[in-house]
Amino acid sequence: MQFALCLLILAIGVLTLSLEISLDNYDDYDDYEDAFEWILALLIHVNFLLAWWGWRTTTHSSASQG
Amino acid sequence: MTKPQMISRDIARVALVLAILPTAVININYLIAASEGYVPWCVPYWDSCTSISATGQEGSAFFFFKSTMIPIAFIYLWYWKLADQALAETDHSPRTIANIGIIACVALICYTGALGAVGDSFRLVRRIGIIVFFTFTYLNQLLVLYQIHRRKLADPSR
Repeated sequence: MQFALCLLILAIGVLTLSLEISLDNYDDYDDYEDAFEWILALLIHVNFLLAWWGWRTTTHSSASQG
Repeated sequence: MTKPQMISRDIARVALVLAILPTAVININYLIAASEGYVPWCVPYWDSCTSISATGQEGSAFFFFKSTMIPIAFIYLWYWKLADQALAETDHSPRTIANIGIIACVALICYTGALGAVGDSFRLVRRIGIIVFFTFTYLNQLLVLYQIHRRKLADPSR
């Protein structure tokens, strides 16, 4: 799950770069840039939420193993 | 409870704080800035009407953003230090995760410090700061994930 989210973040990052390069008018890209920033910030913090779940599971499984 | 279990328990709590607190701060900051009229009312996640930086440049949101994001930068640092300790038993380069975390933390502090300041050089600091923060935080998340995956491969009983 976390790996899929990392791939999604990477895909959005690559998409922003390719849009910045491919759009002739920089203002066209500028229209989307802020939304990308908000979404990337949100996804990076969702990744921390998944990390919380992962570390929690690790603690529980290692505690139950003794 | 053994020391690695305690670190894992602590790191889980810090990760939860980092999932909730910065997201809440960014969104509350937007609400403050919009209610004071510094940014338009919209859904910034798809309307793309304002940047995160623009929400913290004027009014009460300026003070709110700085007074919350700088302490949060140290929570990020704490998280990466704990992650480095938790994964220390695998053979990754010592302190790599902690060092990358320090760079991300410094970048976030520089970005937050330069927020609201007028001038091209401050704009450049903000731009470099936020790009370095996002890039290095993402890089560290990948690195932690990779190390956990490697550890599971080395010992499937984990």
